[in-house]
This record gives sequence, C-alpha cells and structure tokens, in this order.
Amino acid sequence: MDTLAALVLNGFITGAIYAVMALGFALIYNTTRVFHIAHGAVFTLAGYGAFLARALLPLAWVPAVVFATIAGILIEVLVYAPIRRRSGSLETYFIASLGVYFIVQNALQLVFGTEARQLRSGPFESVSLGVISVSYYHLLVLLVAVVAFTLVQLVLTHTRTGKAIRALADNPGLTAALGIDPDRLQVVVFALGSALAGLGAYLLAFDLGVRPDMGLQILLIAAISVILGGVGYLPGAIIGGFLLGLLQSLVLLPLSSVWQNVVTFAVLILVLLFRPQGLFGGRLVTRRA
Amino acid sequence: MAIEIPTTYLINVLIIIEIYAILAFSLNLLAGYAGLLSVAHAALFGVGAYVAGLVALRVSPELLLLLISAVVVTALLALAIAVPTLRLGGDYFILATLGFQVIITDILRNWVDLTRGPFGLTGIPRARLFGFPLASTELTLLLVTACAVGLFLLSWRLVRAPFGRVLLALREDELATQLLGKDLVRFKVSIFVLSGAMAAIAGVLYAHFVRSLTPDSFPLAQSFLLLVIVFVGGGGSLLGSVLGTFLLLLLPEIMRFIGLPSATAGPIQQIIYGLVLVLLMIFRPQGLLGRASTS
Amino acid sequence: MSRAEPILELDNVSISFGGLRALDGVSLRVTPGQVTSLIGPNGAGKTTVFNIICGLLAPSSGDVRFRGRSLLGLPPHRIALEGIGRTFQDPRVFKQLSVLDNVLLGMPGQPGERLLPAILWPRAMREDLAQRVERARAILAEIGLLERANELAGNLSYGQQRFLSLARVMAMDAPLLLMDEPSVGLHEGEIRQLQRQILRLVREQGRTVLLIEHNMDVVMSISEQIILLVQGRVVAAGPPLDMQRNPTLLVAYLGSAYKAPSPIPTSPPELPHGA
Repeated sequence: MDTLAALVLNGFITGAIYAVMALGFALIYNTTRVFHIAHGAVFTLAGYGAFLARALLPLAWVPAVVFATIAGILIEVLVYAPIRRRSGSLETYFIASLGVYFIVQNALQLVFGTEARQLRSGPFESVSLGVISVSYYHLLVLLVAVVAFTLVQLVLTHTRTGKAIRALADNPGLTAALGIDPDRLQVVVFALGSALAGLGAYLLAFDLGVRPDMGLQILLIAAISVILGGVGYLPGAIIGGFLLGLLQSLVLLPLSSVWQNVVTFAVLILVLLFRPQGLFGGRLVTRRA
Repeated sequence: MAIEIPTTYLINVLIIIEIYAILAFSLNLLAGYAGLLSVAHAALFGVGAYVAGLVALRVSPELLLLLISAVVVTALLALAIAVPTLRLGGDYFILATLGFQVIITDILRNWVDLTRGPFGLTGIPRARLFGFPLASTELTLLLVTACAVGLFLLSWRLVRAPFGRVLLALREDELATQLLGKDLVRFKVSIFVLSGAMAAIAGVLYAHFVRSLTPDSFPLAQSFLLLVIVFVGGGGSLLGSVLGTFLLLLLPEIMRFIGLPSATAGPIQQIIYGLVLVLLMIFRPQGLLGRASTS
Repeated sequence: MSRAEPILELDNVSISFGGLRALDGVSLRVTPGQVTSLIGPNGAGKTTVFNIICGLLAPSSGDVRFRGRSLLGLPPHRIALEGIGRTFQDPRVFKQLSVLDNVLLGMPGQPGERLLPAILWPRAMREDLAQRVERARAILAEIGLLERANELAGNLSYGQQRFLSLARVMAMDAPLLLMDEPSVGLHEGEIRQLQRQILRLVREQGRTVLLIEHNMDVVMSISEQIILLVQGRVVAAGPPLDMQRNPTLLVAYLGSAYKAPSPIPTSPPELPHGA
C-alpha cells in the first residue's frame, strides 16, 4: 500500500497547487465573467520569473508573484478596460484574452526556448513517516496554500474592498450604485487572482520546472476545478482543485500518465451532463448578456 | 524585377488557401454568426483528416467513402461536445472545446494501435472518384475548389435564410431570442455540428493533398490562427473569412521570401497575430468586413 | 371561452433569493380578453412574477397555469410557443438586425429556421417567407414603422425601439402578452399611441394583456383589473373603480410618488380608425 499512500499524498499536494490556481481563476471569473484564458499566460510568466531567481530558491516566489500581479493588472488595464469602455461583448474579451495568451507564450518561447527548464538540481530532502515519505516540498506547498487561502479569506471578509468584491460577484450592477469605482475594483480583483497564479506557478515550477506552454494545461485544470466545485462558490474552487489533483494521481494506478488529460476532460463532460452546477453550486449561474 | 515562381508552387499555395478558407468560413458560422467561440476547429479538422487517411489506407480511397466516414465521425464527436455544454452557456462550451483540442493531440499520439502514434500516417493514397484516381495537382485543385465553392454557397444560403437570422439574434441577445420561442440549443448544436462537418471535409481534402499526417499537425495554435482569420476578416462576414485567409496565409510566404529563419518565424508570427487580435478587439472588433455594432 | 376560466393563474407561488423571500404565496388570476395591470412599489417582485411565468425562474413552491396547463418545468422557449409573449423594461430589440428582421423573428414555425430547408431552399420555403414578410410589413404599418423597415433597429429612437419590441411580440400571435413597463421613456403622444395599440390588441383581436406599470394614468385608463403587489404579496386586487375609491391604500403603499390619476372616463377611449 506504499504506492497508494504515495499517490494519495502526491495527489493531495498537486491538488493544493490546483486549488491555489483555481481560486485565482474563480475570483476573476466570478467577478468579471470573462473567460480569462490569459490567466494561463500570467501563470507561465510567473514561472519564468521564479526560474530567473532560481539562485535564491526560497525567495523565488517573490518575482513570481510580482511578475504575475503586474501582468494581471496590465492585462486588465491595457486590454480589458478599453474593451469595456467600448462596450465589448463577452466574445470580444475572450478573443483578446486568447491573443494575449499567444503573445506571452511565444515571447517566452523566443527568449527561453521550448525546452523545459528546471529550477533545482537534486531531489528534495524528505522525512519518512510510516508508509509515506514527506518531503520539504510537500510541506512548502501545504504551507503556501494554507497561507494563501487564509489571506484571501481575510481580505474578502474583513476589508471594505473584499466585501465590495463579493458584492460585485453577486450583482455587478450594484457596485456602481453603491458608489464604488468598478474599474478600480476590477484591478484589485485581477491583482489578487494573478498573485495567486504567481504562487501556484512558483510551487509547480519548483517541482517540475518551466515550459512555455505549461500555462494552458493548468488553466484547463483550474477552470474544470471551478466547475467541479460550483461556479460562484469560492471554497468550491478549492475543493475542486484538491479533488482533481487526487483524481489525476489515482488515475495512475490503472492507466499511464498520458491518459491524465483525457480523464480530466471526461470529468468535465460528466459533470456538465449530470450535475452542471457542480458539487456545491446552487442555481446554475449563466452568462450575463 | 522578375521573380521566377513555378506554377506548381502557386497551385499548391492556392490549394492550401482554399482548404483554410473552408475552415475559416465554417468557423465563422459558429464563432462569427452564432457567437460560439470554439478553439477546437483544428482538432475537428484533424479528426476528419485522420479518419480519411485511415479509411484510405485500410479500406478504400473512394472519395465518397472518405467524405462520409470523416463527416460522420466528426459530427458524432461534435455532438458529444455540444449536447452537454451548449445547453449551459458559452463559457462551458469554450472550456469543452479547449479541453477537446488539447486532448486530441494526446489521443492521436497515444492511441498507437489506431493512429500509429507519433509516426503518424504516411503514404496515404490519393482519393478516387468512382475508381478514377485524382492524382495530379491540377485535379486536386479542381476537387478542392469544387468543395470550397460548394460549401461556401451552402453557408451563404444558410445565413441568408431565417436560420441565419436566428443565429445573429442569439449572438446579440440570447434571452430575447429564447422568449420569442426559439429553441436555442437546437440552433447551437446544429450549427456546431455543421461547422464541424465542414472542417472534416477540409480534413479529407488535406489528407488527400499532403498524404501524410502526424499528431502535431493540428495544434491549438492552428485553432488560434483560424480564429484570427475569422476576426480579422470580420465575424459575421463569410467573404471576410475568405479575405482573411488570403491575407494571413500569404504573410508567412512573404516572410519566407524575406528570409526569416524558421525557428523564430513561428513564434514571431504568433506574436504578430496575437497583437493584431488584441488591437482589433479593442479598436475594431468587427474586423475588416464584419458588421459594426450600432450601440 | 367561459369568462370564469382564467387564461393565466398563479397559485400560491413563492420564491426566495438567498435569504430574501421575493414572492410569498402569490396567487392571482388573469381573465382572458382583458387588460390586467400589476402595480406596486419598486422591488415588490413584479418582474419576478413575469420571470417565473416565462420559465426563467423556478418557484420554490406553487404552480403557474396557462389555459389550465401547468407551465412549471417547461423551458422558456416552449412557454413562449404555448402562447405567451413578453416585452422587457428595456426595448431589447436586435440592434444589429433590420426592423423587418426583428419582426420576422417573432414568427414561430418558419421552415427556413430549420437547417436542411434553409440550405436546400425549396420553393415552399420561399413562399412561406414571402407570406411572413407581408404579414410583418402589415404589423409594422399598424405600429407606424413601415418606412423604416429596412433600417437597422439600432438606429431607431428609444420610443421607436419600444414599439418595435411590441411589433415583434405581436408577430408571435400570442394570446397572452406580458408587458414590463412599456410606457417608460415614451413621451405623451407615444403613450397615447401605446394605449390605443394595447386596446386594439385586446378589444379587436381578443388577446389578453398583463401589464406592469408605474404610470397610474395608463393603469387606470386601460385596465379592467388591477393587482397590487407589495413586498412579494398580493395586497389588493380589483377593478380600477374599487382601487381608486381607496386612495389611502395606494398612498400608503406607493408613497408620495403617487399622485391621484385623472378621473376615470365613463366610456372607454375611442379607438381611432386606421393607424
């Protein structure tokens, strides 16, 4: 049962990273309703940020988070806000987001090449706890995830901005009426969501390194986690992320790793067929016209 | 200044342009008219191509057989994506097409028994029309042009008909359209399946033309390129898609003439496309020939 | 049809949003061939009632019956096809389509809206389309928008867009029309035209209109039945005369925004001949 325990542990840890990513995506999606596919690009950029700082590995999260936050804010200010001013439709945002994704991915490819780059050379030090061995990496991921979730929770429940964000998610029209500047609020949302992507990128890059196309896969997983947990319910995104991580890991028991993506996609289709509101979603939230 | 351009080269370029034009205006029906953004068009193209290749290699290269089998398989897959997602909303659809596009390469690469994996299919025989092989480049051009024109006319008819009117309405305001008694799911599913079928036909033509396919021939970047073509030419304008195809496919040819090294040409092209797309969406979302919004 | 049978019936309908009980045991009946007005302060739940009837929201309890048949669980487009047309607080016309196309979209059962006929374009479909266009133009003539038939709907004035949305719903040929604040944004002349049009639909064509309105002049002059909804409950219902005899009730619930309407004329307004 060594393998099973190891798989469960790995799944849980990967799940934690997915959960961080999913929370960031959910924050942005719930409040803006834009399918922010460029979130994947923000993620990749942050990963390379961590890579550049790999000499100072424990602190590499700083450039990751900083790159991600700045990138997210820039995308909102330079791309989404102008579209909003010109009353763009939801499709317009998505296409523009796709364009941003391709610009960033290819720019990174030009600079760093297509090969994966690693941040560290040796394996992690680990400690044996009975049937499983827990490495410092595992602890790092858990620590970062818990800190991230707690911080987000605090911001959302105890700050004025946070409460405004929740109001924005429930009823976009209301915030203007309440006298809150919706544009500034969007910037905060993108900053927060992108910072989370930065953390996720740091954690993932730490283990697996960086590649120019890593953002898309993780974006897919983040989006599916959000749907699995239930759109409109932030804790659901976290739970969805953990579940997907576990599932992807346990899939390795019967199948080889090449089928992981197919299984994830199958989960999406099954959820949409049988429980489209997700595990914890209430009424199904549909696009606002 | 006289540049020697051999006619076979020109014919080959034209054939590729026509195949891409089919992909472009079929995607426009979906993304431009109905407002359903699919990033899976390359994957559906690939499925059509692979089915045609496999049938040509293992059963018979009879053209009608290739077309029917490619269309049926692709249509079934399209239906499998469409039905769970289109009754829920556009974002679920986008996500499903993204997932489908991503895994299709995985499946093509890993289902080695069927697809020969990373080596792909080679030596695909030319299609035959009732036993007569369409072997020469000129005959291929004829075949591709006939298909392109035929499918274009079909699309033209469709958008001029009441069906096309409903697509435009649902793109603008789904709720109002629904409350006029229109079954949105039926419209969306049928246009997605039709668009996929047309992509499959383009796939058959492609398999016939290039005669070898690999799992990496149909990546997300290609779906992206198709969306760029559609939105540069103008969502909601079939002619715009044809124009966009010419513009965007000739660009790499020109770049090759200029002599840009191929390692950087790819990413640089994509960056240019990305920039064009972003700027377009901000300043002129209707593209070159599309309908301007009146609000 | 016997006048005792309501064309539309809400039976103890309740719905909650989050913790808020938006509708609490709402029961109402709409008599066919009449104009019924749903009035009440903002936030009373009037649009929610409409959304439930149209199938956009599902009540947590209660039933909605149209011509005796329950509408619960039916998708919105099916409910529309059953014979219920709806206009919204905003005109919601299709701005990127022509005025004529907007009206044509209202018509159900067009073969050209099916994929295969649209592609093959048989003669039968062409003839059907020609008939539809004729009927659409007649509707536009009635509304007074015929000269603008080929213009983009987005180029119309706000008032004209309102009338276009009415024309669109008229094209549905629906026995029951739900109108959500149709007079908002219209000037005096347009309001009179709206009233005439509504009365024409009801008196000449035998349809039923359920109206949400804040303009008390309109409500009092064309309604045969008024239902007052306050904080999700039906507080009063009756003919205008009864409601008007109780101005204190109205003032208390509608607040100082209420001003007494002009006295109700003893004979109904005369329908003009022609447009």
